[in-house]
Amino acid sequence: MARARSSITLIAAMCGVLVTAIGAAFGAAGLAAQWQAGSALTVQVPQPGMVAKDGQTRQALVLAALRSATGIAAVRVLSEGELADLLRPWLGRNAEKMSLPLPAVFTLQMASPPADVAALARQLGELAPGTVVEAPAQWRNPVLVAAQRFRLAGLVLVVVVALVTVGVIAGAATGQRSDQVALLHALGAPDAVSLGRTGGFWRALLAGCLGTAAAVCVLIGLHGLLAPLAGAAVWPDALAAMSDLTRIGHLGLLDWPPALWASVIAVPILAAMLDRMVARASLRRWLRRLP
Amino acid sequence: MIRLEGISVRYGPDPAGGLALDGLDLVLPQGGVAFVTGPTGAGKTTLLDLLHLQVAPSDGRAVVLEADLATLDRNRRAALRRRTGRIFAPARLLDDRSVFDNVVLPLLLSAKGLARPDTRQRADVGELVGWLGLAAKSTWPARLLSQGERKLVEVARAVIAQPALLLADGPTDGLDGDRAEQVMRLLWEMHLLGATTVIATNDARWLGWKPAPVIRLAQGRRVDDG
Repeated sequence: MARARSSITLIAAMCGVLVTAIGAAFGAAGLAAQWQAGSALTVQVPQPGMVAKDGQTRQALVLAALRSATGIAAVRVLSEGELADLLRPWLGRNAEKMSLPLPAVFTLQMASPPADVAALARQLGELAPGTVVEAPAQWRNPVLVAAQRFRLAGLVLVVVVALVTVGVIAGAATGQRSDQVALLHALGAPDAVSLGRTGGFWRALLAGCLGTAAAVCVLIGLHGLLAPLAGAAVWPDALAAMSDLTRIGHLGLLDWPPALWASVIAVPILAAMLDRMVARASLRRWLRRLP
Repeated sequence: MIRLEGISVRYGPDPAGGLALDGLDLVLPQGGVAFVTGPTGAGKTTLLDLLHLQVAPSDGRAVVLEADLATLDRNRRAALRRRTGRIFAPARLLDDRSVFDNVVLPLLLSAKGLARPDTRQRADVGELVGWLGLAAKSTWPARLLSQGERKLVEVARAVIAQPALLLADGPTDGLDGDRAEQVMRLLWEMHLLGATTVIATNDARWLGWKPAPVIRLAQGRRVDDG
């Protein structure tokens, strides 16, 4: 019975680790994709509403200059909500209500050939002194590499955990169930009947669900930590409204890709099936050795 | 019928040791009965295991219920076991199954698999379990039973299908005097009904209890006159 408990605990732990690893791999992939698709340049204009020249604000002047510059494919102004999302890790949920003198932030997609960043920075500085031009690629590329390696590590972890679990289940199954299978064999049961009592599917499924639930909690926590790094949280309005109603959105669950949800559902079922298959194969091999 | 000729059973790979039965000869006619006795390690359980096809002989020839064990394939061995009732020492039950499930099992096993109990089988099991004083615990999981109760369940399981061969290893172990006698009377009834019966015991009161040969073993050899 103690060995049965250890096997069940192992299945729960396996599901927890697998779902966490899969979720982390998805998260790393998502972050990498968002960073990869992100802006090539960021331009910050302090005091954007101040009138600078010809009755135009500093923000309007910079925007016009960016749109007319060569080597820039697209310009986008971050909304106040997006700025608040960026500041939330430092200022909390009330960032929007604090009436801070926030700069205007533009994200630029470069064309090919790209704009000369140094010349662009000089031009914008003359139009609106204090304007800062940043090239996120300097720090983004190493992070992208790290994210890809993290994803690879997650997949390796999934394979290692699965292999270790198969080995342990095979050993435990023979230990746990051999007495009963041997008794049925002794009473003259055909091998199929003896193996039919290997059982344990529903118990393994329950354990897998518990482990997966624990992993979901971990992933919700990770989502909270990583969401700011993914840039502005961009939920469609309908989902945002639903999230306000159900509070699910605040946990980040609505952001999860369908494949991750499928994994969450599939892992405990597959684990229970794996437990049954490995146990049966192990017991069948053991049973064939009986006289 | 049981016929053993020069049977040896060796455990382990060492040819010089681990000899549980050593050149044993035994003949028991169909429907016959015999008691087997001897000190611990004499080979009583191994003899019953051999007759129950739980161990294979290392040497010699064994015929059980008219079947030469050397010629049986896996399916025929299983079929022979289904015609055998076995009482183990200590008792072996399906611990997560009820008393009823354990006792009814031999009635349900066949080469095709495991059937569902019919009304008559339920009645038979209920009657036997009640006769052994376990009616109130018929639905209890076997793991909750005392050692003596487990032995009674095993006795019931061994006889419920009216086996052609009945092998009882310490059938009264853990039972009080009345229950022990009740079990022994039941085993004797099975013999009278035609079951070839072998009872292994070290309890001296049963050895002269009925007119039956006593096979005495020591270190895997027969030391009686037979």
